[in-house]
Amino acid sequence: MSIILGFWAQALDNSSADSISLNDRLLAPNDEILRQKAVSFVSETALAGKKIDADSGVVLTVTKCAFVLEIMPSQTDAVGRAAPVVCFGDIPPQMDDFEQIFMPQLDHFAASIRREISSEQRGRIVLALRKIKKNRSFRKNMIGLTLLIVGICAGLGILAMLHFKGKIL
Amino acid sequence: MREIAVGSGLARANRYRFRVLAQSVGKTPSLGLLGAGVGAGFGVALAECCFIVMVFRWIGLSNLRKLHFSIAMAFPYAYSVACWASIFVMVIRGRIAMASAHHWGMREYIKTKSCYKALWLALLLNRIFFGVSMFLFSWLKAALWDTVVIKLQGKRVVILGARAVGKTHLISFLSTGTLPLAYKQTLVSEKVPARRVSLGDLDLRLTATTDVSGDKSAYGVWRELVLGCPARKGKVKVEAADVVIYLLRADRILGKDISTEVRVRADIKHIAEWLKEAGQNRARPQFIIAGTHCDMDPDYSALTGETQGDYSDKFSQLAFVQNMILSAGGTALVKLALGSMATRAGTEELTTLIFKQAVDA
Repeated sequence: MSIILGFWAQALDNSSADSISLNDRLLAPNDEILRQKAVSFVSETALAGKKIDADSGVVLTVTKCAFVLEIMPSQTDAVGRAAPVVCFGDIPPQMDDFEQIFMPQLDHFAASIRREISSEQRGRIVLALRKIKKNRSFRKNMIGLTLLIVGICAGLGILAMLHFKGKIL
Repeated sequence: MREIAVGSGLARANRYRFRVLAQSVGKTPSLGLLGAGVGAGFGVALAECCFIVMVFRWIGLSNLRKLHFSIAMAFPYAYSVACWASIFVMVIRGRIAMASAHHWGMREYIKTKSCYKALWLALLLNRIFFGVSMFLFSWLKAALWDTVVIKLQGKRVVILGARAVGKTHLISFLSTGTLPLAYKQTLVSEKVPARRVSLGDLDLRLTATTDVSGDKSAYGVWRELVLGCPARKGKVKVEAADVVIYLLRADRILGKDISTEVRVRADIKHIAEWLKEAGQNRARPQFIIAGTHCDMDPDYSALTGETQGDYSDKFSQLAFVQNMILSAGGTALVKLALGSMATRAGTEELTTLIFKQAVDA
């Protein structure tokens, strides 16, 4: 089963099993293989990726093909620590309707674990999702731009060589 | 006719003199000229270095160790002095040649102009090379010095444990020397940079590590931290651990909390397997079990320096703890440390105790 979209939150009592949802399905505490796969996916993406948005409420990390979004709701756990909700998944090839797929799944997950996501947080999440899209197009543009710069530099170099040939030294 | 002939003769003589002058550009200069060049070069290089120090301070590199900074500056500074001196000598010589050529109206003036182009090109290249070498030397010597030492002699410490036992607290203390201002549950793994830590008489060189989740679902991540993992597509390389520290709530173990015991038993079972596996290919990582939250136990706060040992003995003599040590390889392979991280002093004390166990082992 390939990961498309998942959510992960630690229990507020710090003793119950973490809530992990994969493709809109809440994983059972004894579903060890899928749970470990999901957590490893988040860890690998977070370590290999680049943080492109890290304001106080939302932290977005992206790699070439995956993302991890850490949302900080207002709830705290039994020892007073902030209890984030982590959203993760593959970056789909077409990002146009990703927001429409993502938000209902997030709402469903948050409701199932009784976490509240404020309207302000929702606004930040939407912005972060747009940044994923923007980052993807930026990547594509950067490749084109790099090729263009290399081409111009090479051309200028050849022209300079021809111009200064026998003149400089 | 005679005047023309004389003029032609003079022109030939001047052409010869100019050629000699033009050829001398770039050759060994006279001692006086060399002194002037070196003096000017020294002054300009000093001004440059002052400017670079200002830039370093501006970008926040002023906290580098003074000795490292001085050494870092010395190499490019010496190089800059030499370059500037040679350029001054060349420019002065070239200018003499050009002035002479202009005075004599020689066609070789063009050649001198070419010489000037070469000089300015040399100047430009010198500046570029100076900037790059300055950056590289400073970066390598000052910023990377500890990193190089850590890379060669550093230990990779991995901190594992169930949720809310103090992993992030300890990692933060080791990596920054401070305690976190705000706490959050660790779900997403976080890179922790390498650091050289001095604790009392201990000089610890810790390589980069990772702060991980304490949920059982993170066993896969824990395993990779202990055993290491090569770089793959979309995945960073993970170095194998030299020291594995397992944190547990000592207060709950002393209080015989069943859920904590079940969790610790499962964790130790897995860690023991990984340590055994790691020991097959390389030196077995050192394993230290550190009991935290002792301050939650009323008996701990009443301890004095003399009775602290009794408290540790009481803990290590618990049947659960003895079984735990036995399943992880026995007392020869497992070390135990107890303490509290409620305060900075407590954290420092427990950290020192943990690493003293590692050094003694």
